[in-house]
Amino acid sequence: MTFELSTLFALGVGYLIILFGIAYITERGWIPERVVRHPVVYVLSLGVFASVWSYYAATGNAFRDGYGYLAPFIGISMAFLLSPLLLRPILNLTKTYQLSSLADLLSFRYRSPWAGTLTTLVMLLVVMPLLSLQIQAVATTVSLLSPDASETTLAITFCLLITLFSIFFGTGKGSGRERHEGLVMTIAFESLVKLVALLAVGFFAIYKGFGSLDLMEQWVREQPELLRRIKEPAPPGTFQIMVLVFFSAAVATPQMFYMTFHENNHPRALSVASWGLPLYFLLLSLPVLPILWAGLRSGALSPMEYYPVTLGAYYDSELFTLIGFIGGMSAASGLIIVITLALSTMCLNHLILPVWQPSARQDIYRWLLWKRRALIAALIWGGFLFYYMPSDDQSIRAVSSIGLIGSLQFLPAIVALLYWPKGNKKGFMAGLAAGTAIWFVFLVLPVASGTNFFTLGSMNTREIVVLSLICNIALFMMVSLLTRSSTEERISADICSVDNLRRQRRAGLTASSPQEFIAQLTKPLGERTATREVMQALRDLNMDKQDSRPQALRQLRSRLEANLSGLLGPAIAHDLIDRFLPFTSTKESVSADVTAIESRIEAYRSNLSGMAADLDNLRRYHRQILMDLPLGVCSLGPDDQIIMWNHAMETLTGITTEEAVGMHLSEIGNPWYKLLNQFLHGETAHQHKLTINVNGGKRYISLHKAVIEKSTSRRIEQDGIIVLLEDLTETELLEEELAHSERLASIGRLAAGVAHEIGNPITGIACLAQNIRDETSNDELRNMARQIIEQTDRTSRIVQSLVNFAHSGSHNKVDQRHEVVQVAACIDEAIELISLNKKGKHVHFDVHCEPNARILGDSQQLLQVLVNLINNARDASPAESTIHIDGERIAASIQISVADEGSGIPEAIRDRVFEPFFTTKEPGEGTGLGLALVYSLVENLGGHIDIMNATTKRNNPGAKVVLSFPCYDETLNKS
Amino acid sequence: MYIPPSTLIFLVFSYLLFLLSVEWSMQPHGAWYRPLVICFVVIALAAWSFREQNADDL
Repeated sequence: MTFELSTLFALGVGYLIILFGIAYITERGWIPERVVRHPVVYVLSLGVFASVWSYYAATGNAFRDGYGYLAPFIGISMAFLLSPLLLRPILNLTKTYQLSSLADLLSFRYRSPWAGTLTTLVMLLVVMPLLSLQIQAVATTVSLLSPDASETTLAITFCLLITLFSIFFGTGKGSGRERHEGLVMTIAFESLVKLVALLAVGFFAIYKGFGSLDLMEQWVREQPELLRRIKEPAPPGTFQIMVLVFFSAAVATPQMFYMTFHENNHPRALSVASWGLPLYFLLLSLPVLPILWAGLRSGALSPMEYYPVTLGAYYDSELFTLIGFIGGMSAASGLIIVITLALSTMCLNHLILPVWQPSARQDIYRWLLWKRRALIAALIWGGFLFYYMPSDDQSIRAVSSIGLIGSLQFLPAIVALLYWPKGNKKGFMAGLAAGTAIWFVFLVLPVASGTNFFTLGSMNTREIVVLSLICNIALFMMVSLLTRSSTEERISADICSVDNLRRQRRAGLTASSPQEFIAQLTKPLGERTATREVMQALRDLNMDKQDSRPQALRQLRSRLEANLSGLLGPAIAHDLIDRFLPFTSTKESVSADVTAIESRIEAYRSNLSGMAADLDNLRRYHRQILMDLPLGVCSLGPDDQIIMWNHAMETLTGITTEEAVGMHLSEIGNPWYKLLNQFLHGETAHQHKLTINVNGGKRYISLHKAVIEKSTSRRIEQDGIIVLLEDLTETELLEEELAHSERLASIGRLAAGVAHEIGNPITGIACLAQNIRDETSNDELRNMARQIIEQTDRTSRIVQSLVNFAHSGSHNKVDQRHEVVQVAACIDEAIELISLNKKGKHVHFDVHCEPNARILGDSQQLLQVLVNLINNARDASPAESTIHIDGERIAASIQISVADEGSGIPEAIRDRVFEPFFTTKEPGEGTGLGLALVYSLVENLGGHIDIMNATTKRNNPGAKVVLSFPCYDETLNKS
Repeated sequence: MYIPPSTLIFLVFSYLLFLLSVEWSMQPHGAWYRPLVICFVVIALAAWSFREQNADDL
C-alpha cells in the first residue's frame, strides 16, 4: 500500500497547523487555566522524552534484546520514582535561582563560566545526532509510504515548519524566563497523540494480526525461539547500563531538564509526575510486543523499527497506517522543538554571552530574543545537515544511541551537586573531560567514522561506558579532594546541598535603596532594562520601592541575581551583580542570616517528625517566650543590624517586628536610635531610669545588655548583642502620685493641727466681739463688733473644714454607722438644708429618684456629700436655672447624679478637681476642700465618683457629678 | 534531607518486589506480560507513596 505524497504532506502540514492552533489558543487564554496548569498536562508534556527512540526503535530493540527494550522506560521511570531524592531538590534550586538548563545549574554550583561552556559543548555532541535521527525518522517514514517522494525535500519542509513553530511559540516575550504554556500544552497534546496512536496500532496488531488476544498468546507459545529470545537474559551489565543511561537522561538531557524544571508550574505537579510519567511509559511499552509479533507474522519486509507505521499498510488499513504515521511525526517534532529551545538558551548563555554581550544602549530583551531565534534555526538546520551528510542511515542511528550514553557523564556531577559539597569546579571539569574524552574517542569516533583510531584491547561498548564513568568519578573526587574550593564555591555548595539551609550573606551593600540599585545597574544594562528588572524583583518580593532595610536590600539583590540568571545565565548574572552591587565588606561573608534560616525552617516545619519536630517545638517555645516577654527584647548582629524585635518593643516604639527586623539600628529613628546607640557603645551593662521624650511625653526606660558569645561551632558563627528595655513610666508616675499624696496628707495633718490650735483663740475673739456688740450702744462700735463676728465665723468655717478633711481620711470604719440609707430621703434633706441659705442664688431642682434606691452606710456622710455637691452646683449655675438630681438603680449599683447648667469643667482641670485646696472660685469664696472631702467620704461609703460635662454643648455644657454605690438588696443582705 | 516515610516504604517494597519477582516474571512458560504487571504494581505503590505530600522547601 502506498500513498500519494500530497496526502502525506497535507496530513503532516494539517497536523502541524493543529499544533499551531493549540499553542495559539493557549497563549491567548482561551483554554481555562485549570486545564493548562493541570498536573496531567505537565506529565504528558514530559512524555516528550518518548521520541522516535521510543516510538520506532522500541520494536527493533524488543526483537534484539527481549525485555531489554524496557530499559529506557525503566531508567527514566526510576528517576521519577526517586524524585524526592533527585528531582525535587533540583526543582527547588532551579525555581529559586531561575536556572533553565543543566549548564546553568552546573555553572551555578561550580561557580565557573567554563563549567557551563564545557557542559554546553558536550551537550551539543550528545544531542545533535538525536536531532538528526528525528528528521531522518520522519523522512524515512514518508518515503516508505510514498516511495516516489524525495526524502530530502520532505526533511527540508519538516524542518522549516518546526523552525517556524519553535520561533513563534518557544521564544515568548524574549526574556527567556517565563513559562511557555502554549508550548507545554502542545507538547502534552503531542504526547497524547503518540500514546493513542501506538495503543491504537497495538490493538490493531492484536485484532487484525491475530484475531484476538488469546490467539496471539497461542501463536506466541508456538514460537519457542521467539519466547526464548524475549526472556533470555541480556549479557551481564547491559540492561543495568541502559537503565543508568536513561536514568541520567531524565536530568542530563536538555529536553527533559527544560520540561521537568523550567516548565514546571507547581511542586505538586512533580509529585504526580513521579508516578504519572512511569505509568505513561508503561502504557507506551504495552503495545510494542504485539506490534512486533504482528509484523513478524505478516512477513513485513520493512525494517522492524517502522512496524508501527507499516503494519497498517501490510494489513491494508489506510487508517491505521496514517495513525501510525501521525504518532511517529508527533514523537519526532515534539523532541526537536524542545531540544532546540533548551539548547538555544544554553548556547546563548554559555557560548555567546561570555564573548559577546549587548551594550547598555541596546534593547537587551530584543537582542536576546533575536539571538535565541537565530540559534533555534541554526540548531534545527544543524540537525538537518547532520542528517544530510552521512551516506547511510545506520550511522545516524548508531551515533544517536551512542550519543545518549554521553549524557551519563553528567551523572556524577549532578549527584555531587546535591550530596557532596566538597566537590569543586576543578574536579568537575577534570572528571567530565576525562569521561567525555573516553566516550568520544572510543565510542563516538569509531561509530561516526567507521574507523578505530584507538583501541582498548577487546573492550566492548558496555565496558568502555563503565570505564569512562569510573574515570570520571575517580578524577572528580581526587581533584576535588586535592584542590581548594573558592569561597564562592563553598557558598554555592551550601546552597545546593540538600542537607544545608540556604544561607544569605549578611554584609551590607554599597547601594542603599532600590533607586540606587537602578542607578548602579544602569551602567551595564541601560536605564530601561535596569528599571524593569529592579521593579520586577520588587514585585516578586512584594516589596516597597522605598524599603531600604539592609535585609530587604539583600533579598532584592538575591532576587535580581536570580532574575538576571534567567535572562543572561548564572555566570554572567553573578559577575554583573558582584561588580555593580557589591557588598561593603567581606568580613561577615559567612555569617548566617538568622531570619532567613528561621523562615526556611518555618516553611519546612510540616515535614519535621520525631526528635526534629520536638526540637523545633522547643525552639518555637523559647522564641515565643522571648516574643511575649513583657520586657522589650531586641538583639543586634555585629553590624548593628536588628535580628530580633519582640512584641513589647513593638508597643514601646511603635515599630512593628516586620519593619524592624533587618533594619540597621540607625534606621529606627530618634529618640530610640540615640538611646540604644549610646547605651550599646557605653561601658555599663545596665542603666536605670533614663528619660526620653516620645511623641511629646516623657518616658522612663531602664536598659540592660548582654553580649552573645561567639559559638565554637564552625556552622554557627552568629554573635552580637541582646538588649532589654524596661519601661518604668507607669511605675514612675505611680511613685510621683504617691509622693504627691503623701505631701498633701502632711499638709492636711499640719492644717488640722493649726486649725485646732487657732480654733480656741478665734472662739475667744468671737465671744468678746459678741459681748461688745450686745453691751455697747455705740453704733460704730457695734458695727465693728458685727464685722469681727462675721470674719471669725468665716475663719471658724475654714478651720472646721480643715478639721473635717483631716478627719475624713482617717475615719474609723468600726465606728462608722452602717444603716440602710434611703437615697431619695437624703436628697430631699440635702435640698432642704441648701434652701435654708437665703444668700445663694435662686435655682430650681429637678429630682428623679427611684424610691427603692437604698445603700448601706452612714446617712450623715451621704448627706454631707450631697450638700457639698448641690452647693457647688448652685454656685456654678446661673440664677433661675435648674439643677437635675437623679437617683437610679443600675444592675447592682445605685447611681446618683447631680448636674447643673453652668460653664462645665474644662478638660485641663478635670483630673485636679478632687485635689485638696484646688478651687475655681474667687479667692476668699472657697476653701478648695469641698470636693476633696466629697471624694474622701464617697470612698468611705465604698462608692466611686466621676465628674464630666453634663451635655455636649460647646458653651455652658454644665457639670455633672456621678456617684456610684453598691446597692442595698434586702433579700441578699438577709441571706 | 527529608524523605517521607511513605517514600521509604515504597523504596523498600520495590526492592523486595524486584528480588522476589525476577524469577517469576521470566519463567519460560509464564505469560509475556508478567514484567509489565510488576511495573504496574510498583507504579501503583508509587502513586500511593507520592499522594498529597508537603513540599520539601529546603
